[in-house]
Amino acid sequence: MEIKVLKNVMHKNEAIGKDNRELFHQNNIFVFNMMSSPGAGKTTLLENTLGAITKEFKTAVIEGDLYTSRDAERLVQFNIPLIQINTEGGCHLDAKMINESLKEMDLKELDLIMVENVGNLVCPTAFDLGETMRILLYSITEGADKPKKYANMFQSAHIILINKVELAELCNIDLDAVQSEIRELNPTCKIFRVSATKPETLIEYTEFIKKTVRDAKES
Amino acid sequence: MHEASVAQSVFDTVNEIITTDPDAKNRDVEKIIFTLSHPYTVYPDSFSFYFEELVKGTVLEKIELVFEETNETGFFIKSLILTDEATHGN
Repeated sequence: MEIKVLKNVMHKNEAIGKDNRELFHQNNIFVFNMMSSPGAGKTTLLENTLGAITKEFKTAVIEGDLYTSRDAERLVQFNIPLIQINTEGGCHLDAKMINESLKEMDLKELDLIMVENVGNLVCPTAFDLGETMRILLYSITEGADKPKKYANMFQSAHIILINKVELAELCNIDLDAVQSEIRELNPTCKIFRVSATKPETLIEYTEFIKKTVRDAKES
Repeated sequence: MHEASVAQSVFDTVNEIITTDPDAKNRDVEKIIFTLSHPYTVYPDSFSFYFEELVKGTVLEKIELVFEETNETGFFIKSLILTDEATHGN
């Protein structure tokens, strides 16, 4: 005999992700889930953009790493609510971890949360945290073949930053070709070419982030 | 790997069903049928590996895992196939 179940295996994470999303909505908080492979430049990107972002928006950061608080320590300079999650072997953040972190924050005092996910181009894709948008940071030093090899991640992102573009010649990377492949995978995402260590290359991206949050809060 | 935690989640879900659903009473589970779509968020081979380790020594030890491809996004437990006749108990 057959017992129909029809249950999403990820239902626990989906349910908590939905709860998180509702909590963010109730408190009018915009949430970015930042993803990349390890060392692509997520923390550097935050270091060089939070100054401009926090001038306009009350911002918190949730940092995800297997071990250490090294990334969070780099952001202490901004004097904002900062939570470091150590997964101790877990390859991604999940909705429950985010939900627990939110209990440490005064959500009524926030406009924006930046979540820096564990460095991993595979697993974070499958775990809804309740975020509003996903940002993918792709470093060209990883190779030009990565977009098609990690298609799930590239397809799931709303914003894709092609980082370390100053090294394109050294790495023998055709940036136009790489961007074309990304566009083929994801026709609707916003793409920026940046050097996260050089703040002047991040202005367009930062302004886009601020406008996106501003528009969402006004709607 | 997250397939391990997904395997645990499935194990817990199936155990809950077989202990609470009156139709499952006294019957053995022969198969779990899953549906999944490309791109995979859970990889069947990795999932099977962890699940088979979890069920060793339990009533689910001899269970067959069946994966059906669909267009619906996600990784679902579609149904449990149980023996037609009661195999234990009253």
